[in-house]
Amino acid sequence: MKIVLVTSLYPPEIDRRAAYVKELAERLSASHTVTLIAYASTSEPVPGVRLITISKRRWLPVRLMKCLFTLFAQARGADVLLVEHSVAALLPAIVMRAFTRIPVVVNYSVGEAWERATQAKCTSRSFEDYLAHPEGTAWIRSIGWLERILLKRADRILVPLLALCDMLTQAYQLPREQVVLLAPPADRALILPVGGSRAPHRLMVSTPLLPWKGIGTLLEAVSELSHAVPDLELVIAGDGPERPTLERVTREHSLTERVTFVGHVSHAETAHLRHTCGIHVVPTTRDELPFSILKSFEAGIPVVMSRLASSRETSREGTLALLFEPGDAHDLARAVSELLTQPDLRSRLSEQAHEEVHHRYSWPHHLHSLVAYLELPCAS
Amino acid sequence: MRTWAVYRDEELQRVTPLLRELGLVLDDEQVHTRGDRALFSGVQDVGAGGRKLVLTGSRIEDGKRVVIKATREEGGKRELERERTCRRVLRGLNFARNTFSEPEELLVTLREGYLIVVSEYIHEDLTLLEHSIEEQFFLVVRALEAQEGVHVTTSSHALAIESAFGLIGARDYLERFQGFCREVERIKTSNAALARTLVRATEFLKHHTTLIERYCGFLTHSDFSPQNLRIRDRRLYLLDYASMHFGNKYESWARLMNFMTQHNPTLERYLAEYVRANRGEDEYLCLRLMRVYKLGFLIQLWARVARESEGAQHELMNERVAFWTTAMEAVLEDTPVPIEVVRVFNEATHRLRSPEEKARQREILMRKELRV
Repeated sequence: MKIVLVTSLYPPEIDRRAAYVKELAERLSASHTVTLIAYASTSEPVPGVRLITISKRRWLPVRLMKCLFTLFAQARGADVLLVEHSVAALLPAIVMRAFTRIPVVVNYSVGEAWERATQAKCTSRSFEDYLAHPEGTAWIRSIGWLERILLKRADRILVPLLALCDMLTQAYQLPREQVVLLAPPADRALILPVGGSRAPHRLMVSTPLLPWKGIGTLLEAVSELSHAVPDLELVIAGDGPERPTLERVTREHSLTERVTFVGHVSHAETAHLRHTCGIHVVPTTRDELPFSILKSFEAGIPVVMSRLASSRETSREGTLALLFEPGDAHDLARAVSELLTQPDLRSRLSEQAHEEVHHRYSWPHHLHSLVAYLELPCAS
Repeated sequence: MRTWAVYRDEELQRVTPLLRELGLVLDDEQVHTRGDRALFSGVQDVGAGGRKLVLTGSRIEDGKRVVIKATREEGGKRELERERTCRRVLRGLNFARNTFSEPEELLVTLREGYLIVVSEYIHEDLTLLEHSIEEQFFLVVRALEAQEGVHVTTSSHALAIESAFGLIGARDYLERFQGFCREVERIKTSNAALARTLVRATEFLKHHTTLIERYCGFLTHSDFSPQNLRIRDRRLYLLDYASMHFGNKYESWARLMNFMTQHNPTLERYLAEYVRANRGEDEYLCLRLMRVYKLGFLIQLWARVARESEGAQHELMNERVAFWTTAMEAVLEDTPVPIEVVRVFNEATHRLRSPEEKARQREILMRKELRV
């Protein structure tokens, strides 16, 4: 196949999607002809791939036009345009499609309007809530409007979660067959120069501190468990507007000796915290992408997470991690207690989760599934 | 131009009553105005580079500890204004993934020609080097990643930061390095070994300008070292915003790792291993390139001071030039500086440093004796 890959994020930009696109291009080029068009001011070369960059320093309309002209020049004879979702990458691709009928497949992980609104602090909603209640500046809202229009015109949209399939089809009124599941590859584990021993009674959560992340529920659960588990401790990695409230709750429950707020930490430190904790807790009350959970699966750390569509999917209905009712501190305490008191359960979950990561979330599996979708006739 | 000591004493005499009027009282000991501080007054790798007093004291009304920066020199004022501008612009950037904690600014005022900036003093229970090696590693990586999270990619990003911070690329780094080499050549004309090392270093940088350019556009701190880092309640505070600019992302790493070559080689090794193992050979090479660049700055700085000093200080400066030349050779070879060389250098430094500078170093780095 001749594949033209279009992306707005490319290394040396610091974003997991940038690193993903580079690795994807390199792996696809082993069996296919790959041209990669990237909006990038500077770029890392990738062997076996024809890389064309469009400087991000250009004025936006100019770079959109440049991308369009580049697509026309490069995509002749292409079998498919694979777009790493962003409006700037998708818009020229959809225009190209109108003229050439080359199918456009979108690799979608998160909404751009929501992401921009979150970064600009225009919203603290989850993606799911944001779809129902878009917020932000006029520019951000126009990006959201464009996303909706452009996604409708794509031939296929690949998403990393079934829960996201449902969200998009509902929010954007898309045909169900247009949006399909593509399990993402797990991130590469960091190699750290420092080690540390695992503290079996240490819980860890790593997340921005927002109201819907469920940290309050976790604190209540820790309070409930603290009598039965005298050395129970909780490390909270992350920061956000909810922190003062959570610190107050910690004091009110007399948990200051057990709970440590470490703030926003580096990827290295998050990996270290994960490796030295006994249980990774994900108490969010909204569906989320699985990348953080996959890292714990990979590291053999047992996971407890709230029972949502996304977590049921990632945990395979509780066979890879324990689930609890969102917002229910008692149920969360029950799940944590089970893991703390049943080493066989812990081992079984960790082993199964580790195997899942190396199969379903492996690069070979991801590529195999992706290529199968690219080779399918267009949904539209 | 007044010597630093004369400048310090005269300015202190003038500014102390002004500060009292503002409700501030100075500490009896002002370690940050003494020792090697004199050597850095007006020297700036980035920023306006003016003389100013950096003082510590307290607010009379509530005893709150403060840091006071005061100057009536235009260069010093420009530097203080630059620092405030950089802080303000950084706070407002919508493409910064995470920002740092910064000391609260308490007062900015003009009094009798002095620009006075008062901010909170960040008290540390432990300095960076007093933490365990693991904690040091994670703390510095946290600060470095925070800088990397501020990356200029679009024209609107560049517009937002260029006038406040400046944006430099590979050509600028090479030109500056060549400037360092010319300065050293002028001062140390008889040191053939140093000259050869600098030629080799220049070729190394010239050969990899594309790689340097690739990783430019990131927020970086040209003086990222423990003296500009404070840790309180697990929050990291970065100081001296005037030393920030947008350049190669490994410039901060390089400054810190060169510092750790002398003070904590284990941490230096950990950081090198981390970059190499997780970010690939190209980024590791870029790190080495930036280390060579920063070592060039150090060598020319100490060579210049050596020429202007005498006695024990002159001997110390020559020791520094020799040591940092050895470090540059080690980075070019991608080998560590032998631990014995580090030990001997640290002993010489300890022997030749003035008591004032020893007191200043203790305040900044370590209250306990550091053994390499």
